[in-house]
Amino acid sequence: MSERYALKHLIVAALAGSVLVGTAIGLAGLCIVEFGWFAVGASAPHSRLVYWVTHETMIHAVQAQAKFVTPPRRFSPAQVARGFRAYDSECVMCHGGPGVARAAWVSGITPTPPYLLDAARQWTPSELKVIVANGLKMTAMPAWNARHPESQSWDVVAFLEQLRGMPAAQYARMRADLRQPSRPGVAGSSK
Amino acid sequence: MSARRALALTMCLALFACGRDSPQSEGSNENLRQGKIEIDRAACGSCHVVPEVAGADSLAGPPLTAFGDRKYIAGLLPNTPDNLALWIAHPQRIAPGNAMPDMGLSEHQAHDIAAYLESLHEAP
Repeated sequence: MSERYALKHLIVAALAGSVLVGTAIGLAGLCIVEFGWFAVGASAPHSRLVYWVTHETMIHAVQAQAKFVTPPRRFSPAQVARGFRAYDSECVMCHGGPGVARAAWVSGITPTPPYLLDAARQWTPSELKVIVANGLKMTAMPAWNARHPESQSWDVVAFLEQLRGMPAAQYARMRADLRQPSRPGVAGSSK
Repeated sequence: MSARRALALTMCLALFACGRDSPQSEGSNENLRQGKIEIDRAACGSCHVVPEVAGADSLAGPPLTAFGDRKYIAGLLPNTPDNLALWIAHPQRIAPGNAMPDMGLSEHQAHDIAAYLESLHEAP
């Protein structure tokens, strides 16, 4: 009899406890929104909790979307060359390259844009396409799709695949070729 | 003040303390703390593994784990805090053509980053 009573007590306490905790979490969330209890400034990195929530959500959302994207069987040298031109004019200021720094002001962005020398190991081509084409909310990453045709996102991905392990000298040579198109050797053709 | 705000305020004062970050173990030293922030800002973690820095899990460059126990910097310089700060600020001056760019870091920023990396040791 008393054992049963104790069990009943335990269940009631557990229920009350979870209701209390749930209410507290809900109220804490409401306070964050209503009173601005969040370090919204970009001058400090995200807290571990906010980093984890936002970053993990982003990764899983990109992975989920990429399931519906079929990559080309292979990327042509022409695609890589077009991708390099796009990267060098619109991506390098925020993402840098081998031996090439990002623009100085970029370190003031939170989350700060990463160098992409390891991106092709961390993301599949389809995932990279999703990120390039659609951009990422709540980061400074714009949607390439907003201003460019769909195929150009794949060009950029084609280049990112080549960027992995690319020596600084090769990137510099491709840049030089781009600025002096009369020189022999088109950007992207040298391996 | 709206009723919603009043409700939220009265019910949540006790939770206020929970919103703060717990201090890091190396937080006592301002240099190391600042170094960790500078590592985040400079995006070191997009090329290197850096212990205790969120998202610093890339393998483009060498992992910086237990850096305080390393003998060389980039296989070129003896590993001292000053040499490390020099390398971080001017990697292209020391090893022209290597993949790590000169990032325009100030001496101060480079020293803070070096202080953090030199504080990393192999677990006993």
